[in-house]
Amino acid sequence: MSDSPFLKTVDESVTGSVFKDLPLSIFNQDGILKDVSNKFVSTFLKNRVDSRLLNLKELSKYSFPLEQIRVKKKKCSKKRQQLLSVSEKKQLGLFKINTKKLKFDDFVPIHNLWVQYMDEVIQESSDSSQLHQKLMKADYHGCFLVVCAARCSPYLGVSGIVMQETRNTFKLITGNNRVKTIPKKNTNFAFQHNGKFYKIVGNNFQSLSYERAKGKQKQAKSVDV
Amino acid sequence: MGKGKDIDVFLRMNFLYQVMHKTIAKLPENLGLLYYYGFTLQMISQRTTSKLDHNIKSSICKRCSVLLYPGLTSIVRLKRKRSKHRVVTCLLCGTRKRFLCRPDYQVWYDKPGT
Repeated sequence: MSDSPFLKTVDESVTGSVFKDLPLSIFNQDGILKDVSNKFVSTFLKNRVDSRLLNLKELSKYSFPLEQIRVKKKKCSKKRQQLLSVSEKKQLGLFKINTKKLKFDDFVPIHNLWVQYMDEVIQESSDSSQLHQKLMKADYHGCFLVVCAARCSPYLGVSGIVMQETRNTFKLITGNNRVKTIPKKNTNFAFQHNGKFYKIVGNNFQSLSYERAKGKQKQAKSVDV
Repeated sequence: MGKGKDIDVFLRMNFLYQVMHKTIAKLPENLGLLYYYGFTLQMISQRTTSKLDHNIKSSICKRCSVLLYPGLTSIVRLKRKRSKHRVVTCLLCGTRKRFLCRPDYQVWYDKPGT
């Protein structure tokens, strides 16, 4: 391997001939590159820039600051956003209800209001078919409900004032200041008014509380529980 | 206002408005319930296309649908820089409502002729 001519030449080049310092003639007295830089820049510009701008003296008139690129301001639309989105409502804490601080006594005046409201609703209607339609459209916030029949046995006998009504559940406040959520499906509720008992079939009520107010509702069959 | 069939809807909206006043008297900290009752009130009037009374409509926040009770959930200030007016700001979401204070002015709905 040592006899091969290639290796010897490579060794010599590494040690001596190829790497040298730049000759002193290139440098000025101040040690600044002058001639080389002009040549280097002019060849660089020939390749890259338009032929019109080749004279370096002309270019020196202009100044090219690096911060020239400005971001244009976007025109904000005149209409401001009127309604809140759901995520913004969550941030404001509108969906939170502190169930631990609620008490049964706070809801008693609402229940007294509801009794007056129910008097007006039931007075005018005489026929059973009309009364059915009116009870379907009526509001049940503040009603004292009792679970009279349920397929799930632990719900039986739970009673309380309605605090909230969702699509599939009633939220009742019981006498022990506790909130219980009871699903409407396969449960029957009952309430008393002026000595009469009225029954609510939960399967007919499976809709939002404000959705029930419009139009006629279909009368589904009551479920034997 | 309500003639004939739609009396049920107006009864219900009136009831809900009174419930909101009861809740703010008893449970002023619980804004979640106030929002819920106000939202159902607004949605009932939307779905059944029945107009709210202007006194009720002006006392509910348009954006977050909370009852604007002066002192607890809103601030009321009188200003006179342009024409004299009353500014109601919601403390929750910060929206403003402006009402002009003109002497001898009645809303069209309140005029006896209509």
